[in-house]
Amino acid sequence: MTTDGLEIDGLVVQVGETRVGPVHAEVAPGQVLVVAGPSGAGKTTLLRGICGLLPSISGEVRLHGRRLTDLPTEDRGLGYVPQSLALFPHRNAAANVRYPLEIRDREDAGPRAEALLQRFGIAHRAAAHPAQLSGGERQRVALARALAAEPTALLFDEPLSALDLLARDDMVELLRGVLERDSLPMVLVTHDPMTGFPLGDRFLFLEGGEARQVGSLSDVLQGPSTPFVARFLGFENVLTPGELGAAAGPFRRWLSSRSGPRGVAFPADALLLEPQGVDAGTAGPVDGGPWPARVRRWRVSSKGYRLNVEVEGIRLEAEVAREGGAPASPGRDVHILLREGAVCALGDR
Amino acid sequence: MARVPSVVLALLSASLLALFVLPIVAIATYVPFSQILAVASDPAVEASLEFTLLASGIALALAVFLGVPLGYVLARRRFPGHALVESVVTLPVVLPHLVAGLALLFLFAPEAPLGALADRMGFPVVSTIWGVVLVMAYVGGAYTVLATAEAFRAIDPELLETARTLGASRGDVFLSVTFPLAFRGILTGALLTWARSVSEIGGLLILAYTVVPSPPYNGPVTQPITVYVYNLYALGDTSAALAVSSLLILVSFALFLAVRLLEARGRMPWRGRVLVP
Repeated sequence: MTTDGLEIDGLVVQVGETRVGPVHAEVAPGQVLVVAGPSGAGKTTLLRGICGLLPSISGEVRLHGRRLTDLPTEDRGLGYVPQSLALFPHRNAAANVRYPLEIRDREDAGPRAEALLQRFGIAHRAAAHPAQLSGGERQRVALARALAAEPTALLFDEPLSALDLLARDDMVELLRGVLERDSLPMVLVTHDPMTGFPLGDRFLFLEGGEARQVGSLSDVLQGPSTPFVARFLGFENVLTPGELGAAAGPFRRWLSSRSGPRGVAFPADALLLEPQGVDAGTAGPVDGGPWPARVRRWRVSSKGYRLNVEVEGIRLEAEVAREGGAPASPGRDVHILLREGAVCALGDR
Repeated sequence: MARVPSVVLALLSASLLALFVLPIVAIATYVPFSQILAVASDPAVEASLEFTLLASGIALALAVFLGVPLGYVLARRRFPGHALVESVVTLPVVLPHLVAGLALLFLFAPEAPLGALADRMGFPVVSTIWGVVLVMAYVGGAYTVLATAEAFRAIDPELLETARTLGASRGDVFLSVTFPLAFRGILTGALLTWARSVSEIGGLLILAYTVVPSPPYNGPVTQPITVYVYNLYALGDTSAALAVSSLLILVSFALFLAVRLLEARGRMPWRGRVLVP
C-alpha cells in the first residue's frame, strides 16, 4: 500500500439513516480521483467523512502515511470546496482568500492572498463581495482560498456542475494547472462522469452508499463491473437477468443463450448490446434475428437515425443508417437484426 | 391568482404608515422646539431621562448578555423541551405588562423569598433602579433572544464547516464567521429590546412608580420617563407632557439613527477572528 498521497481504507460514514462505504481508494499526488454517482449516492457524505465533518464508523483516511481519522477537521490539512463554494458573504474576495492565513496569524496574509488572486486572474475583483461575483469568479475565489490554507490534498464537490460550457472548460484548465503546479492529490465529486473524464486518473462509482467500482478510465470503460456503472457511463441496451426474465419468448431465450466473445456466459451480471449492432430492417452479417419489434420513437443521430424499439417487452436502442431513407414512424412494426458481435456479457468487453 | 393592483397595495400600505407617523407629526406641530429645549433643561426631566437611559442601558446589557447565548442555543442545539423553551421566550411579548408588573412585584416584594434574597445581596427591587431594570429586561429581553435565534438560524451551516476545513477551530469559527454574520440580527434585536424598554410603562406603574436612589443610580428621587409623562398628563399639564414626549422621541430617534448609520457605513468591520472597534 502506498504511503504517498491520499488513502481511503475501508472508510464507512453514516449520517442519519444513510450509510456510505466501505470505500477503498487511493489517489497519488498530482492525480485526481473522481467520485461519481447519481444524486443521493453518498458522494458528498463521503467527502464530508474524509474531511472529518462527519464521524466515520470504521476504516481510516491517511494522507502521506499520516492517519487523519482521529484528527479534528481543522488539523487534517485538507482543502475542501463544497458545491455551494461557501464563500463568506461578509468578506470580499480578498478577505475570503486571506481568511485561512489570518486564522493562522500569518503576517504575510495580505501579500499571499494577493498573489493567489493574481494567479487565478481575479485580482481586479479583490474588493468585490461574493454576491457581486460571477459563477466562474466565485469558483476561482473558493479555489484560491482553499489553496491559501496550504492543504496537502484538495477535495471538490461538483466543481463544474453550476458552470456553463465555456466556464467549465476554463475550470478544467484551472484545475489542471493546480495539479501540475501544486501536485496535490485531488478528489473530485460529480454526478456526471463525463465532466470528470477530462481530469480523472481514477474513478470511484457510488450507488446507494455502496462503492460499485474503482479503477482507471480505461478499466471502467472496458469493463464496467455492474449494470449501474455501465448505464451511468452512458452504455445503452444494458440488460440484466432480471429484466430479461426466464423464458418468455424466442428473442429472450436467444439472448439468454449468448456468451461474450471471450466466453463469459450469460447470465453474468448483464448483457450489453451495442446500438450500432442492432439494426432495424436491413440485412447483413447477423448473429440473430430477424425479430419482430415495434418502433417507440426515433431521432436523428450523427450517423443516421436512432430508433427506440420494443421486442418482447424489452426496449432497445438501434442505430439505422441514413441511406435507408426515413425510419419507420412510432407504432410501426419492424424487424430487428443483431449484427455479429453485437451482444456481449458485462465484464467481457 | 389575480394580481392585486399596485394602487390598492399603495393605499393599504400608506394607511398603516400614516397611522404610525401622524401621531408623531401631531406632537411635533403642537410643541414648539423652544419648549422642547426648555423641558430638556428642567432638572426633574433631566433626572428622569438620565435615569431612564441608565436603567434601559443596564436592561439592554442584561438582555444581550443572557439573550444572545439563549438565542444561539435555540437556533443551533436540539434538546428535549426545545419547543417549550421557545414558547417561554415569547411569553413576555404576549403577557399584558400590568400583569407582568404584578407578577414581578409578587416575586420580588421584600417579604417574598426572592425579594428578600435580592435585598440581602444589595439589589433591592421595589421602587429602585433594579426594579425598573427587571421590568425592562422582562418586557424587552424576548426581542433580543428571538432576533438572535433567527439570525443564527439564517447562517448556512456549510459556511461554518468550510471555515473549519480552512483551519479554524470551533471558537475561531464562532468569532470570525458565526458572530459577524449574526451581528446585524443581534443588533436589530438589541435595538428593539432597548426601544421596548424605554417605552415601557405598565409594569413600571406597579413595581417602580417612583424611584429612590440606590446604586448604581445616585441621583434625586425620580420616575421613569414614561411614568413622568403619564403623571404630567394625569395632573392636567398636557402641554408639558407633550413637550417631554417630544424630547423622548428625539432622543430615541437620534440613538436609532446613530446605530443604523454606524452599521450602514461599515464602522463595525471584522478582521480575522476579532472585531475591530
